[in-house]
Amino acid sequence: MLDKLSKNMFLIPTVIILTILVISAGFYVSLKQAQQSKQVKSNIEGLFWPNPKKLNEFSVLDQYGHNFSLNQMKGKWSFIFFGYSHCPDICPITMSVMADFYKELIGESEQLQVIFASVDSKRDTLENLSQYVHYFNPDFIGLGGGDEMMSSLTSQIGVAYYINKENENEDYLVDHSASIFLFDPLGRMVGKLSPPHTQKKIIQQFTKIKNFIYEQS
Amino acid sequence: MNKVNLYLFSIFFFQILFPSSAFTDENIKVSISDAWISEAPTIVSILAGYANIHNPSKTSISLIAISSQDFSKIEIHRNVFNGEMVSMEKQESLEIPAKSTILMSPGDFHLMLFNPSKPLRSNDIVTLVFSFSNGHNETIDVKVKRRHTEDHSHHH
Repeated sequence: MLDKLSKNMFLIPTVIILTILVISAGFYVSLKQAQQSKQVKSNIEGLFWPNPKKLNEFSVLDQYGHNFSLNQMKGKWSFIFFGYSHCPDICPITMSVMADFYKELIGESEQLQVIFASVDSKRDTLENLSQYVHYFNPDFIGLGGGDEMMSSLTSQIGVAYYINKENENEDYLVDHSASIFLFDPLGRMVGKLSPPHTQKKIIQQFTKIKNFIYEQS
Repeated sequence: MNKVNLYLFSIFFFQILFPSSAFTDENIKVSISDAWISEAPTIVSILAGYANIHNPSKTSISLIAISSQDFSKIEIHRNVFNGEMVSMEKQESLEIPAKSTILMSPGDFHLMLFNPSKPLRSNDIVTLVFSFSNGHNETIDVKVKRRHTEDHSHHH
């Protein structure tokens, strides 16, 4: 009798303690997992996740006068920069960096395209665009076709720009986004790369974002 | 330690010997180094230029104008980042504080050179005249160079 009682006396607290231990271990593991998955996301600078914006149909012209629409964004990673050819500093810096990382990534047979989209339709005729992007890399795509066409793209991405026309002459400047927008092969805007741009930083960011996106699918 | 003392003493001695206006700040020249103009596609009519300007004097000096026969006008600009947006702000002058150097570099302060009189390619040389608030003009030959990303990565 005393034996049974003492057994129960030990058994019940032991069971209770074990139960608490198991439950808290479970909490601990799930908490850690939650933290880890959060860390994966927050560690990637510039990543738009979850719910990246999926582009709707748009229609602009490339530097050869060909229609460029959502279809041309499918099947490869796209880096889009919005600028203008008469921009003397930030745009050529960004284009030079894009030329550098493009060369390196293409060497690793990545499927990607680099796009310069003009926010200055007046001076950036298709012919000018063609010469401009070709200077940095013959593979680069220049997009234009006028304000109305370009707004079918800029309004979706949420790119703002402002043309300073107070000079009333041809030397006007345009305020614009200095970021590079990254689209995955499904045409989803998955990231934004912020300045200052360097080849190393962009390749690191791109690699992280790409690996993350592939892990999710 | 002796060397330092000797150095300090010689400065002191030098100043006693030459207290005249021959060595006042007005006659100390600012120096311009590492000036270059970025080559651009020929359709581009606004180029960017960069230089380091050193003011060795005890008073601040401002760069007030830059001129050249090879451009219709030259302005000083600075990139201003406002969140997502970048805009270029024209500077009426560029102050170089006493005993310091202003580094013009891609993405920051730069010269904006309008309408080159002829297409400029790498290794072309143009002459620029820098005018300062103390009345000095510095005429320098500046080389056109193709932009390499190394040129700015170390400035950030």
